[in-house]
Order: sequence, then C-alpha cells, then structure tokens
Amino acid sequence: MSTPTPPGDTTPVRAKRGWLLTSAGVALVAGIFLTVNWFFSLSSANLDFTEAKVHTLSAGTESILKRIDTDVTIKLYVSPEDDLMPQFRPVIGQVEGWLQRYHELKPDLIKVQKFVVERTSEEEQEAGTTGLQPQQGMWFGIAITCLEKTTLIPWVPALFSPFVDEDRIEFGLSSGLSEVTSARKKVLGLMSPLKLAGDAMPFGGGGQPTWAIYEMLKSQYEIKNIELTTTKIDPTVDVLLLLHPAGITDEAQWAVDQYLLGGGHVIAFLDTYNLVASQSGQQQRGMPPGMSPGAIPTGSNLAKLLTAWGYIFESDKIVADMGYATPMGPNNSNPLLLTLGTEGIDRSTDITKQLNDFWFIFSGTFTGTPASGLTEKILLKTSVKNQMVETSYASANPGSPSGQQQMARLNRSFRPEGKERILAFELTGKFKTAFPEGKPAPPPPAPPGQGGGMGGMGGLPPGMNFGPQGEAGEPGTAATAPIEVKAPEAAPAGSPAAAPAPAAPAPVAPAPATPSVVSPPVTIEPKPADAPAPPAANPAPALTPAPATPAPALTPAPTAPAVPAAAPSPLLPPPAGAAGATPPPVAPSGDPNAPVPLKESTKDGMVFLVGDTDMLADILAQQQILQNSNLPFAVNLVDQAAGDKDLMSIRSRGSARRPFSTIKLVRDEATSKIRDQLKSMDEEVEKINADIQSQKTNKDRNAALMSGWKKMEQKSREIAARKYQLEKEANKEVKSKLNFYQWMNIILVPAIIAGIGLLVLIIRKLKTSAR
Amino acid sequence: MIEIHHLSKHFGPKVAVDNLSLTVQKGQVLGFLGPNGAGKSTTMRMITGYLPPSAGSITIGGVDMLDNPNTAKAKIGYLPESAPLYADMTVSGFLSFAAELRGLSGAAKKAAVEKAITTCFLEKVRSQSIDTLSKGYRHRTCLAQAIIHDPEVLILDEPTDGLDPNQKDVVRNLIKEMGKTKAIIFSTHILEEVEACCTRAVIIDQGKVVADGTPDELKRRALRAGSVHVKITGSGAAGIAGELARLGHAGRIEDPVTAEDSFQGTVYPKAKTATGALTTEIYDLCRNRNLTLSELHEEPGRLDDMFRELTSQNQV
Amino acid sequence: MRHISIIFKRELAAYFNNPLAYVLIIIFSVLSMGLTFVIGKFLDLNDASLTNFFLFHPWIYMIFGPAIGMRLWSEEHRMGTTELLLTMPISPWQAIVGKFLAACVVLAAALLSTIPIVVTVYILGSPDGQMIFSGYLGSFLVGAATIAITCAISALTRSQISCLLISVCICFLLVLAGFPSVADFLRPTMPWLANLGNGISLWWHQSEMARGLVRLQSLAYLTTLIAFCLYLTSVIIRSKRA
Repeated sequence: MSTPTPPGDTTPVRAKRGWLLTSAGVALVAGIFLTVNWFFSLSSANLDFTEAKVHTLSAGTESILKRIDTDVTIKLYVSPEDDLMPQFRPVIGQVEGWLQRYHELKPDLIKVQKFVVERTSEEEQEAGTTGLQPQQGMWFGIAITCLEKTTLIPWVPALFSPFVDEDRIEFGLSSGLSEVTSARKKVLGLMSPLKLAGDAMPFGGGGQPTWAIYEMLKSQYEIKNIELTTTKIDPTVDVLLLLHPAGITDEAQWAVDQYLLGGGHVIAFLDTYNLVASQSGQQQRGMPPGMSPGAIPTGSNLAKLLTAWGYIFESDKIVADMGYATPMGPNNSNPLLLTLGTEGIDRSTDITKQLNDFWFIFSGTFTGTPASGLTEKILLKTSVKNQMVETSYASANPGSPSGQQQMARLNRSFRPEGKERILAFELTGKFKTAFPEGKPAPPPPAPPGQGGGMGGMGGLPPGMNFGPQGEAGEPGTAATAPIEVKAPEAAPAGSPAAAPAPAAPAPVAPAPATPSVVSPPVTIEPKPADAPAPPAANPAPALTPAPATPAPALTPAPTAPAVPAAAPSPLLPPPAGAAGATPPPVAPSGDPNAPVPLKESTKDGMVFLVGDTDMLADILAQQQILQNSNLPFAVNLVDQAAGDKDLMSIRSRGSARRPFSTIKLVRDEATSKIRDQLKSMDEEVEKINADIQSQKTNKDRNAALMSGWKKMEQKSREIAARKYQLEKEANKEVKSKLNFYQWMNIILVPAIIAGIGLLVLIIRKLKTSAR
Repeated sequence: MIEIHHLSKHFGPKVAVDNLSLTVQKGQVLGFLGPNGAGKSTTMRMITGYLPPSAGSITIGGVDMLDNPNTAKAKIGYLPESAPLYADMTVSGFLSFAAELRGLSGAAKKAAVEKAITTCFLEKVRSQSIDTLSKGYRHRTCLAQAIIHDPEVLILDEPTDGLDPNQKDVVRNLIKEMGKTKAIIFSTHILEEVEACCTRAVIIDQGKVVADGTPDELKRRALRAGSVHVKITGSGAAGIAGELARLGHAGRIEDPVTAEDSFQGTVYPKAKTATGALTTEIYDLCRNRNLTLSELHEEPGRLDDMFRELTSQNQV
Repeated sequence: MRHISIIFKRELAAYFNNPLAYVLIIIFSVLSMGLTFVIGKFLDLNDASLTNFFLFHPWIYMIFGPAIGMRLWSEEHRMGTTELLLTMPISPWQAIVGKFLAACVVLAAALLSTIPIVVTVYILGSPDGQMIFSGYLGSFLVGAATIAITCAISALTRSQISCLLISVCICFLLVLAGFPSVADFLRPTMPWLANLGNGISLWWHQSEMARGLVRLQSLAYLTTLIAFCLYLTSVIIRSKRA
C-alpha cells in the first residue's frame, strides 16, 4: 500500500511513470527499431526452406573451402549497372551474395573485391590484365587468384539459366576455387568426330560455336583431343571421354581396351541417330542424312568392346518411350524425345541423385548382362512403355505431312515391350580384354576413286547400307538386316587355313569380304571364344600396318583356338612357344619397346556408357540444355571418373521446375483410349495399299491403283475426320479435368465458408433477438 | 476511500480541472453538480484512471491510481457518461466478459452475473443482443457491469440520463441502497436527484469546486434561503411594509406588491439563522396591528438557486 | 496473460458474429485462387510450385489487412468502449495484443481457406513441401504486418473508412517499395535506395520466402515491424487521452 503522495508535489514522479510512451520514448524505440533492422540487413544469414537446399552453400563447397590454406583473392569486375543490359543487373546482387557467403566461410583467407569498371578507367585496364574480356562492351567477370595461378570466369551470366538458378554460380565459383588452389589439372582425353571446340569456317562466314559441355569441361580439365584412329592412349589421361565415336577404328578400340585394363576410366556416349552428325558435312540435296560428303555418320558404336563386356548396342534402332514422351503441344507428345521421369533416374548414386530433368533425343539402348567380374549399375533407364523402333523415324520431319504420318504410324503401331531398357549405366570391376588376339590390324587405306570426293571418316562410300556393317553405324532403313556383325562364317577352325589365302591378294575387293574397308568384320562371340585361347601365353597378334593385307584375312583369327598352331598370319613372327609354352612377350615386329598388350586388368576399371549423344548438343534448344540435368550429368560422370566428388555434389541440385506429372498421365490415358480406334482405321488404309502393291504386274497394279485410288481417298478423308473428332474429344476430356481443378479451387472453399457463416449468423440472430 | 488532492487537467492552454480536492468516505454518496463543460466528466475520468492528470493525486482505498493503476482500478466500478456497450454481445455475455476482466471465474462469476442481472432488473433481456435493447435497458446493463464485482467505489456519470421517471426512480433507489456500504460519486444535472440520494453534494464550475456540503447545507446557502414570504391582508395592510422593515431581525424586503388591502413580499432576515426569530416578529406584528397573515412561508433555499448563483456569473 | 485471452476471445467472437469476417475470408480465397489460376496461368505453367500463388498475396493484403484491422480500435472509439476497457484493471498493451491476435486468427482462417490449391498441387505433381511451408510462413507474417499497421492507424480515428484509406496507402507503399520494376528503376542511380526499398518492402520479403529463402533479415523486419506498430498503438491511445 503506497503512501499518498504529498499534495502539490507529484510532477516529477509522474514524469518517471509512462516515460516510455512520451515522445522521447517513441524516438528511442523508433531508433532501436531502425538500428536492429539495419543490423540484420547486413547479415545474409538465412534458413533454407527448399528440399534441394538451393540457397545454402553445399557440402561440396564447404569441403573445397576447408581445404584452402593459402590466401585467395576473388575479384569481381562488373560494369556500372547502367552499362549492363537489364537482365544482367539482378545477377550482380546474387553474385555478391554468394561471394559474401564464401568470404564468411573463410574470412581470413578468402578476400572478395568488387571493381566497378567504368569505361576507359584504371579499373578497365586492370581488368584487362587479368585476362578478362568485356562482352559487347559489358564487363561481368570474376578472376580468382591464388599464389601465382588465376582462374577466370569470363562471363558470369553464362553460368545462369534464364531462371537464374543459384547453384550454378556456386558451382562456377567453387570449381574456380578448386582449380586455382589445386596443383594440377586433370587430363581429359576426348575422342569425337563432332566439332566440340567450335569450328570456324575456313572461308569466313559463321562458324559453329563451342559446345557448352566443352566449355564446362575445359574449365576443369586439360582437354586432349585424341584421334579416332589412334593406336595408343596415354595412361596419363585421367579420364577418357568418347562422344559419338563414329568411325572409330578397331585399333582405337583396342587402345581404349588397353587403357581401360591399365586402370583407366572410360566414358562413352554412343548414339544410333545423332542429330548433329546428320546435319554435318556439306549438305547435298537428295542425300540422306549422313551421306553428304564430309558428313559424320549418324550412328556410333563400340561393338567389340561392348561384346566383351556383355552388352549390345543396337545401332539401327532408336527407343520410343510412351511413358517419358516429351510434350510438344496440347495433345501431342513425341515418344522419340524422352523426358525422364523420376523412376527412371537412379537415386542411390551421387551422380544422378540430385538431378531431375533429362532429355534423350533419338537414343539407343543397351541390352545384356555384365561379363563375369563386372558389376552393372543402371543410372538412367526408360519406362516400361517402350519399344525399339527403326531409326528412319528419326529422320521424319514432324513438320512435314509425311513426317506427321510417320509419327502417327509410330503411335499407332506402338507395342510396349513391358520391360525397361538401359539408357545409361556404369560398369565396374576387373575387365578382361576384348581383343584376346592382340592389337587388330589397322584399317586399309581408302580405295581411291570410290565414293567421289569423300573426305572424312574412314572413307565410307556413299550409299553403302547393305551387308554386314562396320563399326560405323549407318542409318538403317526398315529393311536393314540385324546388326550382328558376323564374320564370314568360316568355321573358326577353318580360318587359319583361310587366313593365309586372302593374305596375298591386293587390298582391293577381296571377294568374300565386305566392301567395308573400315575394319574387318569381326565375330562377336562372347567369352567362350576366349576360353580356348591359352591364357597369357599368347601375345595377341599384333599387326604392323605397313605390309598389312586387308584385314579380312587376318582378324578372324582370334576366334581360332589354333592360335599357337601355324601363325594366323604369315606376318607374325612364329610364336616362340607352341601351345602351352609361355613365350617371352614378343613385341610385334618393328617395335621392341612397345608395351605388352594386357589381357586383364589388375585394378578395378570404370566404364560409363550412355545411349545418346545429342543430349549434350547445344544446337538443340540451347536454353533448355542449360536448364536441365543433361550437362550436369555428363560433367558428373567426368568428375566421378576423374575422382572429384566435391564438385559433383555441388552441381545442379535439381531444377526449379517440377512438372505436372499427373496431367501428363491424364493426357496419356485419353490418348491411349483412342489409339486402338485409330489403329484399326489405319489398318484399313494399309489393306487397300497392300492390295495395290500385291498386284503382280504393272498393268494390274495400275488398274488396281485407279480403282483403289478413289476408295483410298475417301477412306483417308473419313479417317481424318474421325481422327479429328476423337482427338477433339480426348482434348475436351483433358481440358474438362483441368477446368474441374481450376474451378474447384476457386469455388469450393468460399462456398463452404459462406454456408458456415450464414448458419452461424442466422442462429445467433435467432437466439439473441428482442423478445 | 476516495482521496483527490489538487487534481488538475490541461488540454493545451485550456484548463479543464483546476486544483480540485475532495474526499469521499465509505457510506457516502457524493453528488457532482455543475454546468456542462464544468469538468465533471473529466474529473471522473481521472479518478477512474482513464485520463492521466496534469497534476495532483488520486488515491483509491489507499492505492495511488498513478502508481498502481490496475490495483486501484480493481476497486472501482465505473459507468461512463455514454453508457458504452459492445453492441454485438448479449447482455449476459457482456456481463460475463466484464466479470472475467474483473478477475471472477467459474461459479463465482456466474453468481456475480446473476446478482447483477437481478439487481438491475435485466432478467427479461439477459439473452438478447445488446443492439436490440432500449435506452433504459442499456443504461442498466452498463450499470450492471459497474457493480458486477461489488466494488468499494462507484463512479457514475449521469446514471439516469435519458431514463423515464420510473426508471430514474429505480436507479436512484439502487444508488441510495448501495451508498450505505460503498463510496459513490455520481454526477447529474437533476437537482432533485441530489436531494433524493446524496449524502453530500459538490458543485463544480470551470474546473473548480465552488460549493461542498450536504444538500441541506447547500440549500441554505442560497441567497433566498432563510427568507420569509408573507402575504398580509386587512385594512392598513398596504402600509405595513415600513414596519416590516423595522423589525428587529428584518433585513431588506423584496418584491413588494401592494394592493388596497394587502401586501405581499419577501422579507430577508438580517442573518440566515434568524429566520425563526423573524417569523415570530412578523407574526407578532400582524397580531398587534390586527392584520391577517394570509401566507407565511419560510424559504429553506433551493438548490437550483444556489446552482445558478454560483455558476451563472461565469456563463457566457 | 489471462486478460489477453479474455480480450482475445471477445474480439474473436465479435469478428465471427459479424458477416464482415466471412465476407473478407471468402474474398481472400476467391481472389488469391482466381488470380493464381486465371492471371497466373497456374495450370499452363506446368510447374508444381506455389511460388506464383504466394506472390499475389502482398497485393491482396494491401487491402485485406486494413479491412480486417480497421475495426480494432476505431470501433472502440466510436462506441465509447475504449473508456470502458481502459478503466478495467488491465494494462492497455494486453488489450492491444489480445485484439491483434484475434485479427491474426481471422488472417489464419483466410490462409487456411486456400488449402485446395495445396491439395491440387500435390495431386498434379510432387512439389517442394518445404517451400510451400516457407511461403505460408511469409504470407502470414506479411499479412500480420499489414494488420499491425492498420491497428496503429485505427487508434488514431473513430472513422473506419479513414482508417482503411490511410492504412491501404501505407501498405501499398510498403508493398511497392521492393517490387522489381521499382528496384530496377532505382538501382542505376541509387543502389543503396533500391536495397533499402527491398528491405522495407513487404513484397520483397514475401517473394524471397516464397522461393524458400527465409532470411533472418526478413524474420527480424516483420516481427519488429509488428512489435513497433503495436507499441505505436499504445502510444497513440495514450496520447489521445492526454
């Protein structure tokens, strides 16, 4: 109980109470408010509420940064905002945010400096000395310096997709840091006929730009180009990357084989129909794709190696996948362009764990089981609703009517095989050689005069699409024979006998052999062929190129168990020991210092195989390439093969887009319902067509043609009308489902609330009204 | 119970309450009188803690309102001038709310609400929503919330304003009844109300106390208090004025009306206390002169006279 | 604490015994969904994320917040019940907080009414649940901030309409301050102003949180803003009596 205050003397006391609410108090509190907020605005601390954690420094970056033990300076050179194009301006803030995060992680060692580069200023000169260049007058680059080394990110916006995914800037910075602070760049051996490094046309005019994948790899690795005809791959190559190795020689395959056995890591992107290749070369009218002079073959394969590992890559088939068909328009999706769903992506490995969007374009698939000693790990696969179809579908132009017809035919005749197929996989384990006989013969030189002016790869004559195929896949037609490359079926035992015989004649036109000069037909027979061969003792027959007779003579030999018996080739030095003996390793004549060909690896090897190379191509929708996971996947493979796990975990944490998979299912359902009906209609057309074709003579045929013509026309019109109707109905169904969702959302809850509200208010009114 | 010392309130340059002091004990009902704008409501708002004073102190039951507002407010029940209510609540709901804010809960709360409803005759409208109530019921509801926690102090600002005579009666009786055990301050314009239920009255003008006393005391201070009104008839009555003036206790004579055989007027005694003596003298005079005293009426004083006298000179 | 809950309950009952609350919730629901589906072309975007949906909210709050908050103190002034409330043995701040919380419950109800879109997006695809959570968190804080601002303004006036208009103006400015076109406009000449604009802008904080980035700065700003506005409310209430 307080004593009453003395009268007349209470003002000072009152001034103390409630001071907080006076104007002085307000000023003070306002000041605190502003200070606190200003303080917080300086910090970039945050909570990352995304599943992919796109706003946080990834563990990979942290581990890279932890390893840094010397001063690193990151210099950002950027033009004043005015001078930059509007879309680049917000990027500056983002980049600065990231640089700030880096600095905060290692404040003592990592220094960040920002230079605003005005035109003709000191900064501009300094910027130039770092090696950075302005793009179209705009500066926006980063130079990372550690001790003597400097890594450049010449144009920062290139790291961004249009949606500005922040993880790419993180990757760019982290890889730059990693590079600049590491001792040596790893070596990437690149074997590819495609012009990844860009190509300036010799006579001026526009050249092809550098591929994005090339740029990405170049920043991390020292890229060594290796010919497809090489006979040796330097073991100092850390990773060997084959991209659509069309035209690879047997020798080169052998080189790869030896490299692998020596502990090397191999990544091969194959393709059955490579779009880039199909558009390569000087296009000539009427030429089927890939057939123009200078053109790169559209198919690539590593048949020999694959066989040895237990797999087949069908060169004349592409996969059509209805489950992963890419939507091209409202009711239209292309099953030859695959957008992988999450079930097709392996989530257990770092390589693909965080990746989501994959595009495969006219891709082939692998079938088989791993050879003994090898472990298979499927990384990417198709859905169960797939079917291998002719490559001719790939060349159909969807824009043209005939192309549309082809696509329609594809849709109609689609029969899912019910089993998923492998799009990309990994093989690890102890590999055995695919060339037990040793180094294969070099390809014969191109016969002169053939094929009229063909430069390019191994002199593939134009129009050659029959008979057994060589290692260069050729665009198949519907009528192509299956790809098995069979040797002239001389019984294995017989070949030694056969061998010497053809040895003599001139290279030209060995009769039984195929005109394919690239490489001899090789029997693809798996391991059993190797078994009879005496282990280790047999130096694989190495062929010296110089006196080489056309291969057909020589190569069938490997299957011959009678290797120790009379040398398969007259050129071979007599094996020092016959069967059973262990001859000292004999070098092929002429090169006593050549290493002994390996037959088996002592260390675990690593091979990655992917069935499509177009997935890496820039020319196909460059923007999308940068958005999805294709490139990160490729670079991840390289990183995995080269052993850099940190960078892999930083790359693409998943794209921003999560598509409406359910809507796609709805569309598919609707489409599949009508498919059968469309099919039966088309069958009728086919029947009429067949009738016409079945006429024996020209005369009859013409007559049938005339009569059938009108019928067919009518039928086509009917069908087109019916089809249109059916598709319209299917469309309507989809649209109505979507509409349902839309209006349910907008109306449902408000209606419920209105109902509740009315109820509550009315009841209350009744209860409390005046009596 | 209620102690106010040197209470002042300025609104800018305007002085609303000027050095006001008064005390009210338990069992006292203090009537606040004053013209509009005199500062009654302002004073009451300060007492109840709604307005902070510019100077002075307020002590309720020994608790300083400025030091311990919540404790002090707990002891007060307040009926503001506008009888404000939450129109969206029911009567019982509102009273329940008020009871909860006053710290009551459970059975005690229910009992208090019931009691308030009964006391203020609100049974008929207990479940009605307040916005359906008539003015009388609204007032009573607001009064109910003021008494719901049985406070020691009641501050009622024009509690019968706008009520019909019956309703006024009800409220006045309530106040009188409660006044026996509480300290009550209520303000009013209605002077008969002051006489009806106050034990003490205070007249406020321009923020100052101009009179303070029991109703009787105040009445007696009226100028006219103590005067004697006479009507004398009979022959020779007309000239009695002079003799009246010469009476021992007589002061002046006002309003003389002389007619042939009668005289009317008001005789003021020299001193207010001498009214009785003066009456006797007048009576004797008439008897001596053989005149008839038709009317003889002592003026006890009227509050409204008093009121006017005290406040009128300041009216604009 | 008890007092806060008593006032809170009364205010909440007042809200829901009046058609205004229901109407406002319905309007919020229809507007937010309608804008997202029709203008935001939600179904066409083929992206199972609610980011666009959340970006519409600040614009809706600009009016919705004041609409809810305008009755908090204006109504009391108008009915005269401020006098009643403040002569009760409670501290004014308890009344302020209790009322504010009741308004926040109405806000929460409005946000709850948007559940269908969450259900839809889960049916149509597999969205990032954490981002949805942070989007709702941001939306709630921004909405609460608009209500707090309105609460302070409502203590100034007895007229709900005036309160509404003034509050809408203030909220509009706060939303606009960080809108991209404004920030872009300012950046070339006064980048520090652009950053400041972002910092005070309700839109910017909402957009950051809608994409999963809950900055400490955002949390600090929104909560201190709410606290400051409630403090201002008590200052205003007090000074109006002084």
